[in-house]
Amino acid sequence: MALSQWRVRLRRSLALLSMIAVAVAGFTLLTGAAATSRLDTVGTVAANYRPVYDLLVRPKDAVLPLERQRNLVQSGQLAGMRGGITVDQWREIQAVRDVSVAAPVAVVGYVMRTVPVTIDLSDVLDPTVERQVLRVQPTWVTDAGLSQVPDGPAYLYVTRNRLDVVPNSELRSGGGLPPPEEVDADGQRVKICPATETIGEDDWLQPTDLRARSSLTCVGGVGSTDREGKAMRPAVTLVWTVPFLMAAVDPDSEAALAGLDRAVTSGRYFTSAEQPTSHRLEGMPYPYSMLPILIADRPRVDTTLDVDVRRLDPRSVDLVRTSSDDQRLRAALGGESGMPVTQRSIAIEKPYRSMVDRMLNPGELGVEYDLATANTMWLHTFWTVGPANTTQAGDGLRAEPAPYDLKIWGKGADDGGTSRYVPRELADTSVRDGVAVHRNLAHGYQLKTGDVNMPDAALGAVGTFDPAKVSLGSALSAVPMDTYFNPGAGGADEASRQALGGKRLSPNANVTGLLSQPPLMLTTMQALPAIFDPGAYSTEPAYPEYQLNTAAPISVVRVRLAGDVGIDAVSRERVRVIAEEIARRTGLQVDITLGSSPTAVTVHYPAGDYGRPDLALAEPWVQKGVAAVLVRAADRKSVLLSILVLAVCALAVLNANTAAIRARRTELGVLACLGWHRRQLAQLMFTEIAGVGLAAGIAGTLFALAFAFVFGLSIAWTHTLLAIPAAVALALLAGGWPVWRAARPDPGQTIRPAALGIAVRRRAPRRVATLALANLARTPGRTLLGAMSLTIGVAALTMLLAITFAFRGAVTGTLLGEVVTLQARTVDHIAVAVTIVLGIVSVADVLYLNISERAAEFALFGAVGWTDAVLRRLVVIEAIAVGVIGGTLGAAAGLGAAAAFAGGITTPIVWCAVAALPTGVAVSAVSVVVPVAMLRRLPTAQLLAEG
Amino acid sequence: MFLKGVRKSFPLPGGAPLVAVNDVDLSLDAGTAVALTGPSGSGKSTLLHLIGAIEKCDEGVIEVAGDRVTGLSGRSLAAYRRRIGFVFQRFHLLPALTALDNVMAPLIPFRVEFDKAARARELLAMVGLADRAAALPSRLSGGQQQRVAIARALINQPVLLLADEPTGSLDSHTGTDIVDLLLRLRDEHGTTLIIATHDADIAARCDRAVHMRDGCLTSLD
Repeated sequence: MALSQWRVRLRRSLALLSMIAVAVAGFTLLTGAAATSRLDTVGTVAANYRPVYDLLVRPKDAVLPLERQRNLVQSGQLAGMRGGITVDQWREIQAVRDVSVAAPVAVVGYVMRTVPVTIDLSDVLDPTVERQVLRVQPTWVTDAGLSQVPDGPAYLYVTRNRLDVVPNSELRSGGGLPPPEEVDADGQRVKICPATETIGEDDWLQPTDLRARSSLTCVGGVGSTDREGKAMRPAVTLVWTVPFLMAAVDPDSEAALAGLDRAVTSGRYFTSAEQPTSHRLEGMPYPYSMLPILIADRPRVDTTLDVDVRRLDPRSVDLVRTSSDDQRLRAALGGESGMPVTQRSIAIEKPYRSMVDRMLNPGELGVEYDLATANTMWLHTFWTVGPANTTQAGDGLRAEPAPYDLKIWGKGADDGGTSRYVPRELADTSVRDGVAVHRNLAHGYQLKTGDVNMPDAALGAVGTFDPAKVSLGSALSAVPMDTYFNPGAGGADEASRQALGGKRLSPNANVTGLLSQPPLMLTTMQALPAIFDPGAYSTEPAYPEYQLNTAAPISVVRVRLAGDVGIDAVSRERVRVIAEEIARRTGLQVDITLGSSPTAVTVHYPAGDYGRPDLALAEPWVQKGVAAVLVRAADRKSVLLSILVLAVCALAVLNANTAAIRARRTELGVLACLGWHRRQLAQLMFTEIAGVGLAAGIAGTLFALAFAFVFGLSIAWTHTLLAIPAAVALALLAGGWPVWRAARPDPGQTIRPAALGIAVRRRAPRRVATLALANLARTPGRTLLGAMSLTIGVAALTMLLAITFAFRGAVTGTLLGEVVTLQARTVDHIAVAVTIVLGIVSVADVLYLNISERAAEFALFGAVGWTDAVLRRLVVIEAIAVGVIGGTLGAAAGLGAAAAFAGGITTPIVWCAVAALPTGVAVSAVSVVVPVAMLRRLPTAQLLAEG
Repeated sequence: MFLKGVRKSFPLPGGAPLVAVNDVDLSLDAGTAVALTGPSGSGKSTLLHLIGAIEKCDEGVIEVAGDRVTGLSGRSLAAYRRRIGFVFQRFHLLPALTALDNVMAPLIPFRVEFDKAARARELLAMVGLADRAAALPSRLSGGQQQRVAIARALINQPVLLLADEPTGSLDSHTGTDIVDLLLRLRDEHGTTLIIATHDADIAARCDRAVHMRDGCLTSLD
């Protein structure tokens, strides 16, 4: 009997079968994809769960309010930290059970080293003139090209005549440098290039004093030699001063944490026990300590040197040959006009490498600008800067200008020689308070006449390291590793991105700027006392807040825990307990960086004095606890998706079942009249439904497999087999209510026309729209069922959209969050597609059934002259009405559920709901396509004849 | 009204098509009441459907009040249908609408110059149901439902009224009342009336009777 029913009611059976097949296939696909997506998410999170260090220990006052508010850890703060952790506290941390590595970083300060850059101009000389003067105008281009900082010009006087200079070997002390003499063709000797005179040490070296930063070089023709006896070349030497941030680390800890030992590229690594070596220089009344240092083998400053070379007016030659005052001469040359002859752009890498070679092999190269005279890098002076001066602005920070007296750079780089200029970029805007200079006191030794006056600390390079070879961990869980790396900052808004030309702003030589370079010079913790001992260095200004923190020199300690640390709750609790113990034992701030991920914090950077505009920068900070949030969200989402999809599918099947059974109510009534009782009717219908469910399950399985194959979804084939029992169960469950209703023992009610039971309405439908609404009211259950399908679909859509926002919002902009969200996007899209498709099918089914049951009415309307367009309008209005009901309920339900999921109603969630409502209406409108097509095929005459 | 060579057949699965109307010629003057008689399956209803433009004929020409029905399509066809009235054996009232609304139903989508409700009430009064205007079809007897259907057929003041077995679902007494009503309306409004029936008494009361057998007109009285 059931078999014959399937055959006789083939179309309805097929419709039911299709509906169940699509529903269970959708359910199988979605639950499978959701499960896979969850596993992917958890897998990705687990794979990127553990950063280079698990805990970050800092002094309490180093934590910004913004970090506490938003559960962040700032980056790039190392250079501005003045210690705060004692060596004993570090030892205490090491002693905590389960702490595997506790790696300290103690910032010393900035050490200035100069890099000579020689520019050969022989190819631009005019061979037709006897004498000529060239002006080389250097400009430091930095801040991704936004800042152009002009430096003092270098003048080159070139004569074809011989130039006689007094060699170094014949110089007498105290007499000053005698000027060179040009031997003219007629044998006349003219003194040229008067010696530079010091006009006050402090003024001389200020980064803003371009006049003082200019130079004049005189070069003679064949037979001319310099003071070292070498043949003269037409070249000028500019000075590139590199500020090295120097920090002390514990070599063993650093090797274990970041693999610093494996990053050594020349020389050797140092050991934790390595202390400064003591040396004595002839004539020095006290010994000096040589600190072992590792130097980065590449610079970390964003600067290019552009030079513009001009040949000056011939009058300049006379100026050089007649002036005896160096200051006036250079001032006069500065006013001369000239013809451009060449422009060059020079990168720092090569000269930097050359300088590092000299530091590694002092004295061997014997270059004038190195302190090679003593074969030692004396540590006369170094500088410290405070933290960036920031205030909270919205979700981020605003760096405020912090002007200071530039005289702090007074004696300049290296040993304070006459050409040891500090970086010209230091004249640019400062955003850091507390710039201080620390000068060597030689522990208070009183010098006597004739004593060699040198500091009692020097730097001895033992090797170089490549910061790129240091282990920074996964990019998705990168934590601040300011010791080796400053990733710079991109533009946070469109204007800034445009200004930066898509590049990132990187640290430059202005150490008082926002971005700090990583330490390019590392020494050992054991070497620290040579600098931090009271009496080793004096500090200016002399206020306490500028002093070196000799008692607590360590700025941060990065902690790695022993053994594997999983993402599970037990592991997380274990980490929390250890963090608390460290905090309890030391009283320091302990941040759990395990499970964190980089995120962008907007920092507004004021405009510079040399072209850099106001910028909103996205600084790469770290969002704590991202992994846990992601896993929790993935779990919730997986469960939510499954429930949603199940509900949508069940409702769709319920609708289809109801329709199938309703279409047979007359026949069932007849059977009841013939004596069938309720159980037999129910049995008949359940048998039919189960059969259809089984067929639908098989079809659903095949469909799910095909879909997964075509779209490359990773779903286990065993999972797709679930579609078969799921389809049967779903069909039977969803058939329960309609079967119960259809099999009730009142056959008269069953065979009576459906319209009998309707109530009289208050207002007569005298327009097409009201007639459409009246039609929907005639079968309220079905209308409600269609609307509910749509409700769930729209609710699902709202929730999915909201979840996506909330999911992303929970881990705002973190790299790990972005990756995971991207991973989960496929299943989200499928879920949305399936819910929409099911919504369309459900509403279409409702409309289809309405038309089927009211076919005679439609035929009548046609017979009395209604046009096809009016009939279509009637159906479309019915569809839209279902869409409005379903969409409104769905948006409201979705809003509520999404709010519960996200822990509150947020603007994006409201927008999702607002967006989902018209989607419901649109879905309904789309669903009329098939029913409207069906209108055309109605057998009008037959319907009217049969009634 | 004028029919010439009208033919209509329906395809049958796996066999020759069923010829429902075969080469029918018929001419009627305005205001004539014609009975279309014949046994079940003789083609009476199909011929009415062809005249009423509910079906399209395969061949032939149908002209009604100057409209060549066989040449119409789309909106013109719908407009033509509004110029005729149709009364069905099964009434085909809309169960969700009251008697009054059922009468107005053909006008629902259209803007007209007269008061739809007033005219519907007039028509209901004309068919003797003035007091049942607010009743739903389910509360009306078969005869009352057919009266409502007749009123509905007249709402557009048709030039031609087609009645397909209008008494087929009614008892003989009620059937007689309905035929009386149709003829009275014809008399009052001058509407051409074609009644498909197999009842000889009804046929006898019409101006003319046309007999059909196997889709062909066999006799014209």
